[in-house]
Amino acid sequence: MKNILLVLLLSGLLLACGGNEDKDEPEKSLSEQVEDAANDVAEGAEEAANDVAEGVEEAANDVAEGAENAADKVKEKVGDATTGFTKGGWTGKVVKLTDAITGNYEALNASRVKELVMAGQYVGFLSDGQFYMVYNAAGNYDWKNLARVAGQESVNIQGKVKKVGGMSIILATDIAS
Amino acid sequence: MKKLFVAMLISVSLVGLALTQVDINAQSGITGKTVSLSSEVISTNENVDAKRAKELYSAGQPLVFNSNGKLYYVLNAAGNIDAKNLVRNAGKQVTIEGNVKTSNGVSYIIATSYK
Repeated sequence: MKNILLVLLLSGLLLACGGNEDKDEPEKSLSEQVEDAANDVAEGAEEAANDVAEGVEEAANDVAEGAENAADKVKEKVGDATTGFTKGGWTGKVVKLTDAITGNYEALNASRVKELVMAGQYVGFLSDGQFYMVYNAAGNYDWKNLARVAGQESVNIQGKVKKVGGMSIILATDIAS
Repeated sequence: MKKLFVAMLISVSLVGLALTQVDINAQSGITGKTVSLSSEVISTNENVDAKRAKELYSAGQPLVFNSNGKLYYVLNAAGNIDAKNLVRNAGKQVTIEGNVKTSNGVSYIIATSYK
């Protein structure tokens, strides 16, 4: 930086000492010329410093904005970090847990679902080869809403999914066929 | 070519050994306790004794087995949820002997005994 300033200073001096075509103006003393050149250099340096500062500030703002956008995207993908739930929608069908294990699916209807649940058997939701237990927003097992759409080949559930102790749980906000 | 063959042979042996290990683990007992799945979902970690387990069972609320933070559905030999034994053994640490398996993302134990 010192060297650059020195070069600029010398360049300024050389320019200042160069031939002056305007004969009307009174000739400046060498000390005045040096002072002018030093002022020019100082002004140039100040402008350059301001430009650099503005550039750094803009770059910092861009980085901050980019980081904020990236954070928003990550938050959307991963879900609320405090709850561990991820929002989404799933299409599948209502099945008995044990059928999801054996692969032999019993045809279900509302009364059969109630019968199974009251006998201590679990009914859930199978989507893309993944079995989910379904809960409502209050955190209660939502077998009643599953019973309502049991037997439908294509059921859509909107809500949030979470892994609890390795089990896949959907907190449903809407269950429709 | 010879090296490739040896490498493949070693890989196959290692995979076989790993599978054997998984099978051994799957047949050992796991220790834990009966918990309410609802309680686990909302992270209240309710202590479930036999009386409470019976209430939950009667209300159709799922009971599962928690072993070191991992949850398992427990099935009996007939392939049904073994809710009655989960209720009977609720409120104490028990070791369930049986086979641990996973299917369609479901981890479950086919229980042969409770100790």
